Amino acid sequence: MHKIALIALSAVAFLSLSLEASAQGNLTGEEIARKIADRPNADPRKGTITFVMQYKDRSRKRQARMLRTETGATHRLLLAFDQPASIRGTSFLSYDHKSASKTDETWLYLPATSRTRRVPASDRADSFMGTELSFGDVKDSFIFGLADYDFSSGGRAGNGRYILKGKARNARVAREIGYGGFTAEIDPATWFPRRITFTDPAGKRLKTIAVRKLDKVGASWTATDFVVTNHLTGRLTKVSLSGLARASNANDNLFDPARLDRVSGRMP
Amino acid sequence: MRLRPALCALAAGLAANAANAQTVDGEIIVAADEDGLSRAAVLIEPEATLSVGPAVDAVMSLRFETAGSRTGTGSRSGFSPISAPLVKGDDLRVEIDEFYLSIPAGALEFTLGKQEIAWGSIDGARVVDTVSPARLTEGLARNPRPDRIAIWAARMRAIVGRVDFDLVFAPDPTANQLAEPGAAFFPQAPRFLAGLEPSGPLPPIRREDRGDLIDDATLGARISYRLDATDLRASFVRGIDQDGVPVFDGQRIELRHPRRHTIGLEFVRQFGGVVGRLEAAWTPDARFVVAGSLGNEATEVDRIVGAIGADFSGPLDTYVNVQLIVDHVSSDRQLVRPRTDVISTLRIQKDFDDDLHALRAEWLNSVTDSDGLVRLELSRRIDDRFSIFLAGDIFYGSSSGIFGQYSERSRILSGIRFTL
Repeated sequence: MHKIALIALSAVAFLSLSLEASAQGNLTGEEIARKIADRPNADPRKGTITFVMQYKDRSRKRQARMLRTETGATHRLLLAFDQPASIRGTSFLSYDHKSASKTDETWLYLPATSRTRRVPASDRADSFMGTELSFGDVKDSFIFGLADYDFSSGGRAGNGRYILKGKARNARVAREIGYGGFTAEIDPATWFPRRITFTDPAGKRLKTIAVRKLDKVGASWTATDFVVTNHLTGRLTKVSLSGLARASNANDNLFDPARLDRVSGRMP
Repeated sequence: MRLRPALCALAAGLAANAANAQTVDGEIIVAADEDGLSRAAVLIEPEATLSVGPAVDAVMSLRFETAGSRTGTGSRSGFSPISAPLVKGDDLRVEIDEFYLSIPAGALEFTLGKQEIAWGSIDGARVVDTVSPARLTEGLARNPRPDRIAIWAARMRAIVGRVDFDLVFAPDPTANQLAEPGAAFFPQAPRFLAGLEPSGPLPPIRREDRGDLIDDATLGARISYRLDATDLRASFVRGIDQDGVPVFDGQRIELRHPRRHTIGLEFVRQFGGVVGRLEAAWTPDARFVVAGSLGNEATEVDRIVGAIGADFSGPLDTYVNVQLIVDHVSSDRQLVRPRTDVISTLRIQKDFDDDLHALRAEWLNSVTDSDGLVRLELSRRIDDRFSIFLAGDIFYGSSSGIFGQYSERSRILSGIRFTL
């Protein structure tokens, strides 16, 4: 009887351990990607973002004030550039709609033309203001598009992080996002990618984003120090975010594309 | 405002601790055509933005332009009395470029003062973008295009959910600024000279007086609706004909600026990787000179201008913009302009070598007159403040065409641009 009870207890213990392992250790790629997408990201945040682009012996700097908010179904990012003077007044606004049926939207205001323009979705792959980040990298906020990739899990690394792999769903998506796929290390404590290596649509290793520091506002994590290395060109962009704080007084009108010409002096 | 107070105000703005942004933009350009030096110009535009209250900005900028060449600084007669340059010599011009207060009030925003108002979404062609006049001192070969002239105006914008309202009252009948008679880019095509085909010196040209600031004021209203990846806009503009109607009275050509009304529609939509733009404008009281009237009769006609365009990423990481513009007038009588003008435009841009170099190529082509303009520019960034460029403008086609009239003005340009 004792023997049977021990066997039963062992079986129950094994089953519960297996279930827990399944729940925390053996997540599928899709499940990991969804946890990243569902990561709390709704707290309104502001800060000053600095891009330092390095190539050979040259170095350039861009600085912008940042504002992020979320309105239930849409994550919104606003950047107003202050430095250098040649791009002062340039503003960038993106709406990332959570519904897969709605197209994400991006606008750019250029003072030289006095007009706000919609940026085509295909420009997701284009360099963002001369940095090694693409327009897509900037607006995606370290979230992998669930409609863009087929995901798979690579298990867990020695440091406990999940290894997530993604492959662009088709050639058209690969062209649009500029990536054929990626391999990322995901921190299960924050569901934030800490290191992502992208391949280009042809499968060549393209660039690596290494997140060196995260900060939290409310429940939302933000990368405040990361480095983007382009393996094909040798160029490097260091990105830092200073003064990260809750933007509780952010005026919702700032996120209207029709006002993008005036946001430069209005950022909180 | 005279020059000294304007300079003092700007200097105070540039020096003030409260100023949250100061820049000095400028360029130095030289150009040569088949007759030698055609343009030597220096443009300097200091600008200061000051915070003068909670979220209230004051923006002021001046425009210093000097040119000692055949292109010149443009005509002086296009400015209304309140927008007249502070200094308007033959070779030096100083203007208040912008001078306004921007005042947000909840969902409303008021902009009061001398300002540039940019409507429309088609590049380079002013289909519904008819509130601010433009500088046309080099025909359509200017950068930026349109190079708008700021006008004195009171503007109110309001956001109501997905709808934006934009209302403008501008008691400033400044017209488009043309080249001076005799300058390299003074219009030569008969359609711009009351149908005259001058083989010798032109008759004197004068502008109609536009001193009535209220009667000749521009009133504009625009409503915009944004839904998913689509923008819809409707606009109404009542103001002077900024191009002007050239009428010959036997002695001289008078450039008249009758009032006209324009109703505009815009549609902009993101189709995946392409952004499509559609604009249409209907002016029921446009005026054009009747052919065979010796230039002294202008008739009122319906004018409809439609434009369609698209932006997308092209091969080799290029940015591509293509447009087709159709400008039609309904008239039983023969006019000095074609009944329908069809113009296509193509622009390709590429940055390369770590954004050190930029190449821009543009082709403006009149399908109606088989003439056009090809523009090429290669620029090199020295640092974040300075860049140098080498460019070429090639005009071709018949001397009666919009572009072909300058076929002897093809030129190479070089210069330096800066932002400090």
